[in-house]
Amino acid sequence: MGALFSNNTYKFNTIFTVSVNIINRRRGHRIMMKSITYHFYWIPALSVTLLFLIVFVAGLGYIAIKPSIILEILFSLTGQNVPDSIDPSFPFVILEVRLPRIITASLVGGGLAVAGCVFQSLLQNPLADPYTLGISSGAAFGASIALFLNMIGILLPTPYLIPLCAFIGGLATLYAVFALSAPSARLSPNSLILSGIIISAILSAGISFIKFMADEQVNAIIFWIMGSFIGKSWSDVFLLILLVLPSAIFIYAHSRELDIMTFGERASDSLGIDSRVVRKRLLITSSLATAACVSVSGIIGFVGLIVPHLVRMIVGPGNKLLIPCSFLLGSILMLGADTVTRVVLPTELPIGVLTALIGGPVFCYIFRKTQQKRYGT
Amino acid sequence: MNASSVYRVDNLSFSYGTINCIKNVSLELNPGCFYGLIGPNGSGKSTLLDLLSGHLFPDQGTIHFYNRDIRRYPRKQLACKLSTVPQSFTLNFDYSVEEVVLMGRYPYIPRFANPQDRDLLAVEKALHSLDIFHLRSRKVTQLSGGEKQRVMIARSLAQDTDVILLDEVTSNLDVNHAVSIMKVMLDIVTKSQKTVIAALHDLNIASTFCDQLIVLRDGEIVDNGNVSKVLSENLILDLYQIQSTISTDHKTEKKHIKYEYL
Repeated sequence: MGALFSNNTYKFNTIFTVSVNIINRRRGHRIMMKSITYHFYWIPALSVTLLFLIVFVAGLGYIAIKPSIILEILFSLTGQNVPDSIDPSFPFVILEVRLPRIITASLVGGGLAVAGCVFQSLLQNPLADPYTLGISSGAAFGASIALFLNMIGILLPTPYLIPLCAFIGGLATLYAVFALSAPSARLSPNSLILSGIIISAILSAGISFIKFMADEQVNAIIFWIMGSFIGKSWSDVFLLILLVLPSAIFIYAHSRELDIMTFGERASDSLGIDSRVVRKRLLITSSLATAACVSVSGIIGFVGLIVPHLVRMIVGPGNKLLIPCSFLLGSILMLGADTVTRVVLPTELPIGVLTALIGGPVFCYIFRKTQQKRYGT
Repeated sequence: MNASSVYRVDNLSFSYGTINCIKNVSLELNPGCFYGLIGPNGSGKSTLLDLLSGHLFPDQGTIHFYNRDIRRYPRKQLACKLSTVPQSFTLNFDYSVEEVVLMGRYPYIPRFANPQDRDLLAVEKALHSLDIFHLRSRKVTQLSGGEKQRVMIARSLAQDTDVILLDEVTSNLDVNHAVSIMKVMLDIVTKSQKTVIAALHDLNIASTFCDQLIVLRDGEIVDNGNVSKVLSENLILDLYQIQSTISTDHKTEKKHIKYEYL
């Protein structure tokens, strides 16, 4: 009897120890994963903020419209009739004027921020942005040529011509940068950055030359390059949805590869990533998104550089969180900046000027802070 | 010819542009062995490791890895069998130590899936064996050079491969950490029958831990075989133009090299 009892105790003890071990181990893992999964709530938080912001700023402007009325107008899209109490001009103002511009600004902000993440990871350089490879200069050059030909009456003015030329210009630049930097198809970060700088410099000179030739009509070119969301329509939104959203999803699907590739080519090759192929694919995808953004809105600086930095400070460098959060924060900031020029300022300032004027000093401040933290002064 | 060999290298040649780095190298490496790759700076050690890891492809000759041409392995499949710790790597972003080590599980975790328990267990084990578990939530950018190197080795251990290539991983480490890393590697070789190929500069470490030495000079294999057979005063004079005396430790029967610096 005694032997049986002690045997049972022994069994119980073993089972108990084993299960405690399992529980401890699982808890240990959860603690381990904490630093990796801790910040996931940022994605829903930022999404909700963006949606609220969209509804809120749609009501701001020359005609102020209450958020409740905006919601009713938005619900009318599902097939319901707009109540008679609402001014009949409101649906047009919201749906045809403000909403396309708001969505364009959000998508451009998100697209540039995500492209910024990719360029920073792939070029292994926290200072890279979507324009590092000269895509902006290429797009501006394309747009300048379109505007110039327009001025001297060679092409008919169509709303699609300028974006199309800008888009082609941006992609042609990417091709030139690849061709210049990669005789061995290796595409090392340094040679890419250097080629980007060279091609950009040539294109800037080209843009200056076109401006010079344009003479008195140079304003059109200058204003295009400074960037603007004025008069954006649903066709711009569709172009962006077609190019920016699939690119962002493709990039998000490669977030682990992006993480690993920041450690260099040897390290990523040894983990089973064909880094040459993946790098090229991701550079092309993010350049497509950038070219689409630039061709719609002109050159808007700083969003692609600053937003990934800000987000990295909040959620860490892991791309699985960095990419969606950057997209959302980029959208929010761009929409905010556009609303400032559209509603708050007495005249519409070009958005590229505004983002650089606000973004530049903010970046200086953040950079200074992190330097101080890093070097402990 | 041995059917169970890990590597079979035949008439391997490789050049960077016009510079011939590897000239007509043939080798056969067996499982469960600790190989030391020694030779002066610029003798082609790193290039040979790049070729063995599939990072570079040979100009001439073939490399068979487990009886299959290394070029014909899909990358991820290769990464489940073979890991490399490179000599240099860039750390520009503030990943935490455990995030970096978890990257070693990349070939095992499908896209969009979360790491499973076995992945986390492998990470935990790797962190413990490199004695960096207490650093697991630190940012890699804030670590010392030796700690960074240990993180990269832990990542390679978490990858749990049959073959591990090490490219001068102990060069930046103090004696204590260099020896402890080599002990971990020796442990892996003797207990789990894994194969380690390490490019080494420290011949005393090489003679203590390695079973076999591969000696490279100007991209050619000078000698290749058991440590006791290969390591000699003449070889050291030949490779490094330095006089030395080699003695054998009675207890461990390991060779010990004393250089004559003056």
